Amino acid sequence: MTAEIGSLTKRNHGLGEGMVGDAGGLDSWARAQLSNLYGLFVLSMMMFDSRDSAKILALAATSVSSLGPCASDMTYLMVDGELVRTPSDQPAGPELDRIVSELDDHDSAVTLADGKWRWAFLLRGLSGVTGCLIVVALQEPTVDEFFLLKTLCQQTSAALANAALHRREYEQRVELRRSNDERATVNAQLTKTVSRLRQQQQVHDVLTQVTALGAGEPGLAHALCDLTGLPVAIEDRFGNLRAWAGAGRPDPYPKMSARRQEDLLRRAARLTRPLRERDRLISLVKPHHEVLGVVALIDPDKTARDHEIFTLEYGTTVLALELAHQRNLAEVELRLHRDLVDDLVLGTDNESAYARADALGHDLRAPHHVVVVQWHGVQADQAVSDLTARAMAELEWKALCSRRSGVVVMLVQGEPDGAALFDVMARELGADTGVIAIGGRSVTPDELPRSFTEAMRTLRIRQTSHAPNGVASFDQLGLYRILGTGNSRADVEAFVREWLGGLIDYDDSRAADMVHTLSQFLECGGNYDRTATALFIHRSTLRYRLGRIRKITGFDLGDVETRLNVHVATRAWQVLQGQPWEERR
Amino acid sequence: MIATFDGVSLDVHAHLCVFHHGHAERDSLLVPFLRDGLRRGEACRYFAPEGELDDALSSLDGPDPLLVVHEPKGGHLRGDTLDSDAMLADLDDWAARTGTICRVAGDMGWVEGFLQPGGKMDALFQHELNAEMWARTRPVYVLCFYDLGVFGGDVVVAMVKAHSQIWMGGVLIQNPYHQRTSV
Repeated sequence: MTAEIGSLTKRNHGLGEGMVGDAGGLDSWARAQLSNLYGLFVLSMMMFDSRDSAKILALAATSVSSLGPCASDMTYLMVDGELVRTPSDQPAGPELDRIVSELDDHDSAVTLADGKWRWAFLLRGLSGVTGCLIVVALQEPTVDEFFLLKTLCQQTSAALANAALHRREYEQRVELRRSNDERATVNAQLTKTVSRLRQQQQVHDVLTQVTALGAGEPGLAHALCDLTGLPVAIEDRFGNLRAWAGAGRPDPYPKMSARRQEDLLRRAARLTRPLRERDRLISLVKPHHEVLGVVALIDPDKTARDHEIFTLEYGTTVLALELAHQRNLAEVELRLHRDLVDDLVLGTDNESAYARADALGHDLRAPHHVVVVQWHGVQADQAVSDLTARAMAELEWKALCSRRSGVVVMLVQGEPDGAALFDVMARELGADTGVIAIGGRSVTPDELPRSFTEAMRTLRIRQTSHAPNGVASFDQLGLYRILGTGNSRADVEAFVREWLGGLIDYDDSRAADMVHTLSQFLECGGNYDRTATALFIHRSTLRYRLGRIRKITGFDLGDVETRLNVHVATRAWQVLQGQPWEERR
Repeated sequence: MIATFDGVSLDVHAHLCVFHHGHAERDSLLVPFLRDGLRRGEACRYFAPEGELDDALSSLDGPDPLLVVHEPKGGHLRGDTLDSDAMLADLDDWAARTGTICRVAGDMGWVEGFLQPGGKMDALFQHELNAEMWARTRPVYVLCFYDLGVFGGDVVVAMVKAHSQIWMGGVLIQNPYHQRTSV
C-alpha cells in the first residue's frame, strides 16, 4: 500500500502524469499542496467529529500514506501515564516500544536496525502527551511532505484533545446526571421522610392531647380511628370490649374462648410488630411484662400500611403508659388506704386520722361503721378484696378498705346497706358462703376500734350460728351482744355449766351431739320436722335423742322458765364454742 | 432545473464526494436525491453494492424506465480491474441517449475489494479525476458515496483531492483546489 500511495503522492507532487496546473494562476505544485491541505482539512473535520481516541488515531494513521512517501509504522495512546500500542494487535516492536517509552517531550527521529527512516510525532494535548505516531519511509520525505505529516499530527493532537474534552464533559455530564439523580432520590427520600415525620408528629400531637384531656380508652379509640380511618377496638386481656370507635361494631361483641385468647396473646407477645389475625391488626397493651389489654385495628381489606401500623403502636404505647400510671396510682392509693384503715381500727388520735383521711379525699368527720367481710369457699383472699372494692364503687359507698388476717375491713361512711353488698358479692363470686358483719356506729375516729371489735364479734357469732351466711349487724345481735362480751365470760360459762353441764359431759364421754341437738330443737321452736331436717337425722332419731336429753337433765321443756334458761344457755354455749377472734389472738 | 441534495442546491456538472456513516445515512441521502430526479423526469443511474439491487429498486419504487441500477459484478467492475474508460464511455453513451439531465450515484463500497489485493489507489484516484472531467461534459450530477466505516484516511484524503465538492456531516464543502486530469 505504501508504495502505491508513494507513487500517487509523487504524481501529485510532480503533477507530470495526468494532472494539469491551475487555470487560476496557481502552479501545479501549489495546487497539489493546497489540495493535500484541503484533504487534511476534511480529515481534520472527521477527526473532530469523533469522540473515540482510537478511531481518531486510526484515521490519522491510515491518512499518512496519502500525504507522501511515508506510512504509519506504529501508533500509541497514553493510558494511565504510559504510551500503549493502540490498536494492540499491531505487529510487536519491543525495541520501538522501548524507544517510545524513553522519548522526551520532543518529536524525534527513530533509528532501528532495518535502517529505514522513521520519525516519532508526539501528540500533545492540554495535559501533556496523549499519543504518538511513528511514521516510516524508505527515504526521508521532502520538507513539504514532512510539513503535511506535521500538520496531520497537529490536527490529530487537537482532535484527541477535543475528544478528551468531550469525554470529560460527557463524564461530567454523566456524573452531574448521576449526582442530580442521587439528589433527586435523596430529595424524594427526604420528602417521604418529612411527610412521614409530619404524620407521626400529628399522631403524637393527637394522642398526647387525648392523654392530657384524660379522654381514657374511648377517647384513644376515637383518636386512633380518626388517624387511621379504620375502626378500632380496645379489649381487656380476656377479650372483653372496653372501647370501640368507627363503624361496624358487632353486637353482641364476639369473645373467643379463654384458651384461644391466651394463644392469641402468646403469639402477639412473640412479635415486635402488631400481629395480623384475620381481619384485625393486634397490638398488645403491655407495660413491662404484664398484658393489660389489646388494641385492634379492624382492617378486613388489609389496607393498613406503615402509617397505620405506627399509629397503632403509638396508641398502644400511650395506652400502656396510661394504664400503668393508673395502676401505680391505684396501688399507692390502695396502700395508703390500707395503712390508714389499719391504724384506725387499732386506734389513733382524731386529728391525725382526719388529716390523713383528708389527704386521701375521704371525710372521716361523718359517722362511720366498720364492716368486715369474709367468704368461705373462695380460693384467693385477694379476689374477695378486689371484688369488695369494686362492689363498693358500684354501690357508690364512701369507704376506706383494707384486709387483715383473712377478712376485708371497710370503714363506711353513713349507714351501710349490707344486704346490697352481700348480693353483689354473692353474684360476682358465684357463692353465698360469706358473712358481712357491720360494727356499731362511730362518730369520731377514736371510736372505730370499738366498731371494728363489734364487727368482728358479729362476724364470728354469725359464722357459728345456725345460719352462718349473710349479713349481720352488731346493733341487731340482741342477746348475743351480752353473751359475747369478754368481761362476763366466767359468769356465762358458769351459767352454761349450770344448765347444760350434764349434756356437755355426756357428749364429751360418748362423742355424742346432745347439746347441739337440744340447741337446734329450741332454735326451731320445738318443731320436730324442722329440727330433724336441720340436723340431717331421722325424726325417730330426734325423738330418741330428746328422750335421752330429758332423762339426763330431767328438764321439763314445757315449763316456760326452764325453757328460757335452757335456750339462753344453748346460745351462750354457741358463743363460747365460737371462740371470738380477738381472744384467739 | 437545479437539483438539491440534503437541502443544498447542486449545480449541473456537480461531482460530489459524500462521506457517510453506514447504509442508513447513505439511503437517507441517496433515495430522496434519485426519487426527486425521477419525479422530475430525469434519468437516474445507481451503482449499488453487491446484493442490494432489489432493495435499491424497491426503495426507489422501481423498476422505472428512467432508472438503471447496477451491481459491481458483471457491471462496472470486471474481475479485479477497474476499467475507468469503459465505464465512463458507457455512462456517456447512456447520458447521450436519455436526452435529459442525468443523476448518477455510486456506493463506492465496491472499491474496497478492488483496492485490497494490491493497493490500487492510483487507479481509483485517476478514475475519480476522469469522472470529474466527464461530469463537466454532460448535464449530469454525479455523487460518489464513501462509507467512513469502510474506508480509512488514505481514501478520504485522496478522494477529497479528486472531487470539487465534498459533503460531510451535513456540510457541503467546495474544493477549488481539487486535482484535475489532463484528459
